[in-house]
Amino acid sequence: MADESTRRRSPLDLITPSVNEVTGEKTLIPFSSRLHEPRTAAILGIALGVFFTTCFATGLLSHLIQEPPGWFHWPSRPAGFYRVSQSVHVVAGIATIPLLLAKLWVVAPKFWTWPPVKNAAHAVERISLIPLVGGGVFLLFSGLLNVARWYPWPFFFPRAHYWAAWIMIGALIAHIGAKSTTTRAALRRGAGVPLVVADTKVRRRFLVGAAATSGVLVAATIGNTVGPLRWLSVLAQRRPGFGPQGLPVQRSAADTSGVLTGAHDPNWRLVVSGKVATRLELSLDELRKLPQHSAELPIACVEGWSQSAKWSGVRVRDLLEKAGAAPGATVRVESFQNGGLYRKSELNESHAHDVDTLLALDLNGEPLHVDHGFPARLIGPNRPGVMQTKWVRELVVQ
Amino acid sequence: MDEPQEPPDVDEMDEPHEPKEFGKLFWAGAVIGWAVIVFGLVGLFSDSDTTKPLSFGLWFGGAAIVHDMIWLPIALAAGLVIGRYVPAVVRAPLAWCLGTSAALIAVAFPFVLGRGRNATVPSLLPRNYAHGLLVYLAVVVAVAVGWAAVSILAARRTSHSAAGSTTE
Repeated sequence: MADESTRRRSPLDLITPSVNEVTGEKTLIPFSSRLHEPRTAAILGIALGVFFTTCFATGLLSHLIQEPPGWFHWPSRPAGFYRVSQSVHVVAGIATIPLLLAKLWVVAPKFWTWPPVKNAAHAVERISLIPLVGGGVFLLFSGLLNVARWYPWPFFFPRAHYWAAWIMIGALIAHIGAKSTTTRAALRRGAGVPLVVADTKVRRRFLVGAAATSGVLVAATIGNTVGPLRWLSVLAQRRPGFGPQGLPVQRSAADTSGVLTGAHDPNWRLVVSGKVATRLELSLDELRKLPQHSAELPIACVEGWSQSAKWSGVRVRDLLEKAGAAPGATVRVESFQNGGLYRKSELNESHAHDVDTLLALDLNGEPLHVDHGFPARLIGPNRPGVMQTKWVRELVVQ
Repeated sequence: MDEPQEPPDVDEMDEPHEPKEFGKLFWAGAVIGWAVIVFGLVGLFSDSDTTKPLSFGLWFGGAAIVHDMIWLPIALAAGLVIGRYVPAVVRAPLAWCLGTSAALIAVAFPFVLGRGRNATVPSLLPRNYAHGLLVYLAVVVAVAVGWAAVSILAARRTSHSAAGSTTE
């Protein structure tokens, strides 16, 4: 938005530092909008700080759950917590896209500030912007492409996204340190030029507009996890209710080596082995004769989609008891698929002994579709979908 | 609330107001922040089998370059054109319409291209994303047109009532 102070300049002015008439800062490019001011930058900066920190915390949590260090114990309750935290991770990331673009637009004149570096501290501040801006854009872009399952790069997305998040959050800490004084000053009631330049009405309209754009993007994608809004979410990766037995599938049997032959092997047995008094080998019929239990639990994918379903089968803890495992035993659940990162998963004590952790045989009242893990799959509360191992062959007690 | 703004006086412009920009907080943030950045870099390189640091660096730096050298100049040029050639009363709805449409296209393009589709998983990317994008763009344009119409009417009413009050 231009204002009366805008003067037409010749192209030569682009290579001659000029003084911004409003803020008094020297810049290589004349910016006319009064929204390029510290107060607008401060408000967007706080919003971005909250959103990126939320994404970082939920992403770190998801990482710790999947690759738990010794000190980390993930409980099986509340059952739907992971579903919420991972949905928040993806939704917050999508909502951040317009806010980041708006913020970078607001502070754009800073990129062309002249001289580029005033002193050592200013150099540190500016260098910290490289991991901040590169990291912010990279995290949002790579996360978006992961949701679309498009990997045009050679690195493994989860690891690259994870380490980029540390780099970016470090840059964010440096940026908060650098900007907290200015931010507080710019938000202070009665603060004047050059911290506050735009009219309140214009700034509000701009910020509400950016928030509305975030809202549009969230509406376009949130039906991934909020079933009733699936009609609204035209850009969602999934449509809740659509898939074999009314449930979407992350990885198909046809696409996983060894599954189609293994699932229809008449000699399939569930093996309970490891630190047990009695090693068990149970056929599907024998499993069905054991006490059956049902649980309403979600598949909560790391990519942000989730849907609840009714699962029925045998409690893992009943199998452990039958095999004579120790009370606090943990379990490694192994699939008969050949290789693959998610061929096995761990059940810590809390998950192994939860009443709702099942070796599921049925989904919504019917035997599991092979894409959902026939003949038997693990399903438990408060776990990422990748840890709900399908096509189970063995429970190794540890 | 902002006070009505006086034009900045010359002294203020010569010495931009910079409240203790590089104080203790700055250095604390820089030290902690860079320690975390180094932690991330060490992790990245120690995990180089999966993170492929060279290509990671290209994508990481490329993200910033694409933003700074392509997206931002386009956005600034669009702002310049709007500021110069579009009547003030419809600038905001037009700018919002363009910005929101661009954000929608940016988010939709990997879904519209559908490179992630897998024939064995029909429940993955099951929608007609191009169609969905067009519907959303149409709604955004409709909202912006409505907003512009309301702004124009409000501006006319203001000028009419102003004219009326002078004749009364």
